[in-house]
Amino acid sequence: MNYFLRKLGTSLLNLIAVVVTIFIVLRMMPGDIIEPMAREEASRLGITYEEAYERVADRYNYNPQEPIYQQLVRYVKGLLRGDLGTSMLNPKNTVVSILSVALPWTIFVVSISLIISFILGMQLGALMAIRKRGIINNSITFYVTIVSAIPSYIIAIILSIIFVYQLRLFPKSGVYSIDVTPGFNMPFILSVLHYSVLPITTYVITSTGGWILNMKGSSVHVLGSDYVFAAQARGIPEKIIMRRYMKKNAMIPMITILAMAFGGMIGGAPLIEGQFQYLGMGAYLAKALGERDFILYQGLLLCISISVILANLVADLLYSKLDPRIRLE
Amino acid sequence: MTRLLHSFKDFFKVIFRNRQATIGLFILTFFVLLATVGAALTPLDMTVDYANRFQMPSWKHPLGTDYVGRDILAQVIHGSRDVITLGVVCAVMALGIGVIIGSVSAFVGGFTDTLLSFFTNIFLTIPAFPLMLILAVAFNVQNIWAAGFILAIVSWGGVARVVRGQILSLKHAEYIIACRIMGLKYWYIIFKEILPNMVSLLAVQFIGLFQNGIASSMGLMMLGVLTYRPTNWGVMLSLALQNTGIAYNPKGLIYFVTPIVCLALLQLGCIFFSSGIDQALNPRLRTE
Amino acid sequence: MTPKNIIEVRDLTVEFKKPRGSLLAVNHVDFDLREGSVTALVGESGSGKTTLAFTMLNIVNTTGKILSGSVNYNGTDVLKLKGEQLRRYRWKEISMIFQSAQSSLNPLMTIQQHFWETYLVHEPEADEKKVIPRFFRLLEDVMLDPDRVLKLYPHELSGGMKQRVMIAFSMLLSPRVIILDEPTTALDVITQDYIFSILDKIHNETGISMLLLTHDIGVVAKVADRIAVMYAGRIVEVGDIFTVFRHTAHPYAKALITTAPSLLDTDKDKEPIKGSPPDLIDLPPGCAFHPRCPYATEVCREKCPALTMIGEDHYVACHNSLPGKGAAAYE
Repeated sequence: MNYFLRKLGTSLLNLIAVVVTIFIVLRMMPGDIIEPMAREEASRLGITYEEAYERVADRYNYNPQEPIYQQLVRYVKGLLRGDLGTSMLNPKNTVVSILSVALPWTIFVVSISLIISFILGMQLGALMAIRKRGIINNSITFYVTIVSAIPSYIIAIILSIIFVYQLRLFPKSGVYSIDVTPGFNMPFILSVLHYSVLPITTYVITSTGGWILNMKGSSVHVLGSDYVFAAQARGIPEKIIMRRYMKKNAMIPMITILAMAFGGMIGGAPLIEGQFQYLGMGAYLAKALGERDFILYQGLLLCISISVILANLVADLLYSKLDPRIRLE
Repeated sequence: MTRLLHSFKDFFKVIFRNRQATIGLFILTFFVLLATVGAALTPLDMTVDYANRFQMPSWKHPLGTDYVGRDILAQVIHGSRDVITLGVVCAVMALGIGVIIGSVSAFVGGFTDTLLSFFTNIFLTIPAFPLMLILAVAFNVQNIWAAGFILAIVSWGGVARVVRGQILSLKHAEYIIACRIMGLKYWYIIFKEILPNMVSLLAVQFIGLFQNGIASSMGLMMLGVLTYRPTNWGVMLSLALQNTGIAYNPKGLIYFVTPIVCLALLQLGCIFFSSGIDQALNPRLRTE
Repeated sequence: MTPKNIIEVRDLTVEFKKPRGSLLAVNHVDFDLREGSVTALVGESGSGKTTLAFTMLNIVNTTGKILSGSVNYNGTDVLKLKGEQLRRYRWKEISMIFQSAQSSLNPLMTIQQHFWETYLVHEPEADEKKVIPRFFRLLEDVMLDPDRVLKLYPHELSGGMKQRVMIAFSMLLSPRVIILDEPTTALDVITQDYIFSILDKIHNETGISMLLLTHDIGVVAKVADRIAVMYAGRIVEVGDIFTVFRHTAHPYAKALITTAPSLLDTDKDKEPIKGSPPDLIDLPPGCAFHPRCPYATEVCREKCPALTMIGEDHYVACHNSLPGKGAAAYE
């Protein structure tokens, strides 16, 4: 069967399963989260409790009093309409509208970080495999060891204490300055970059280490392979061997880790974006959790899970493009 | 029994030959002692003593006091017990779930395999940390078992995948096929041939789970969803951030830095030890 | 008239460091490769054949170290070549088909990319359009369909096809020597025969010198015109194929030749070589073969025999090999 179609099929199945799982997680919430709101609305609008309950349930597209299968049907129907309900704290904000504001920033920060750390990791990892000793190698090893021992959120805390509070070089919160008008203009772009420097730095510092280690292992493996030795015997210059033989072959298995790394970074967003109050998915996740806004949380969780599924698909596609052993047709 | 003792001795021999592994073992032993002997010997007094807040290190308070005058060292020591227990509980549970699902998947094969692999994949797709957060709220976690369970639920997927892959590759390895042709019993093959080949893999996975469990649990505490014990390093860190005004108050620095240093050291110990354990238990890496 | 030597190895020693100690994979070896000949280098695995061959390309595994000696190719010491000079020497003058020919190609490049890359790094002025006919001819010489094969990736070729591609590849720059390291071990018997017929044809047409590394005496008898036998890092017997087969002088070579299945079809009893292959890290003193040798005497235990001429173009390293004694064959 077609490689890409098969991957697409798996992704779709995965998507369905994820939707159901997240639906179940929300139903595990203790108590009836609609009830207090219905009570409040009934007294505020002077309508009966039953009527208020119906209204609130419709607003959040979630009625815990219905049988579970009916709830699932309602949920999926909502999803297909693009209706994820509204925020429990502020019913004027639909979940979808919050997502459309928050998602681009997270994707922006995470992809830039992923690209930077991937490229850095590939270069440094390959370098480590070629030069087995020396100052460069030792300092990279030291760096990798240190960052793998310190969780990313602690790096975020330290960076924010130094650069935001002590040196005041970067803003305390937000994604761009209120002084600029969003659009394709220089001040806006610079402002966006300015606001994203610290989250990106945090991600890059913490995830480069893993890439270095993985790439080093893979490169050492490739360097020991017969085709590298054979290329040396053919008088191929070292530079070409490093680029066309070692790096390319060593990078292929890295592609498969890309999507997982993306998921890991986005998963760590609540702590990192939360620390810098960078208003992406992570900051909203932390906020929704703190305020027990489960409807919003569910929407956010679903959305980042879908991004991970898409990232997987992109990685598979990239993999098949780079490795001739996997053909698309 | 003597054989077991022998392999035990061999194990430590290889560990001690590897410098990193020795350091790792040393650090881990230190923390285990801290959590057991240390915690038993050090009295913990959590009463608020406002007059003695933010004290510098002294004989009475080797690491000074926190924002309400409590001894930091005693807190860290008692916290280590909680942190390590939680790490172990999480690692044992996740390893258990992962090994069961992974090995059933690989041994039974067929539709069961497809189904279980699919199930595993779901847990690998949903980002672990946010899922953990919502589960912690849903179950209203109040004790170490529940916390460990939540951590395990989101982290078994990787183990299951690795175990499945390893068993499948062993199943088709030539020496296992040879065993089957020789007519050896299925269980005999599993316990005598396959399991010993997985020991190093499982040990490394265990340490990885332990390490991640601790880091994630501290993250959960920072977001205020696992707050059942104030001495846990994560809670300490989160209290330090909230109550000391650490960004501008250098006096709170020790209270803030202590749990970070402890966490980093413990993680370092895990990393070093696991690199050594791989060499000690993986016959292929042993150069002899 | 003595034929010209294209490669002369003198007093070559290569050491490998292992965790248990160091071993000499090649131990004070002298060896000549005659121009235009097919020389077989025979020995068990671990006897040092491959290491000896690698030194001719000045390419030694990272753990190996050349302690002494020289490898003269056409008057230049190959071991002294460095950098760009060495790079240009490899493949242009001597090419090699590795034992691992099946995995000698970069999985991410097509055959054409391989050929062109190697051609270009040796002939930087070349024009791809002009050399493609050459690729075609080379592949046709090994009975492959160039149109198809050039576009394929390594994983799309069968074992026999890969081997033939490697033969064509080794002829790419018209080198003067090809080293073939167990070129057919991974293949079935019919493909083996096929490959050797191709090699034979190439040799007849181009007169290229070949060094064939093998442990298969049957193969040697079919294709080689000279033979050198290696044991534990040393050459123990070398000479013209007919002389060596008829008057085998070294006990090890004799055992190797007589135990080969139905070679000269003599009625002699086929006795397997007793004992186990030597531990290279802990070699016995004296002649390394003495613990397994039925003719061993006191002197074998103490002194390592030197390679001595015992007939026309026939050298042997054995204390008991002289005519009339022990294993000697000129009776």
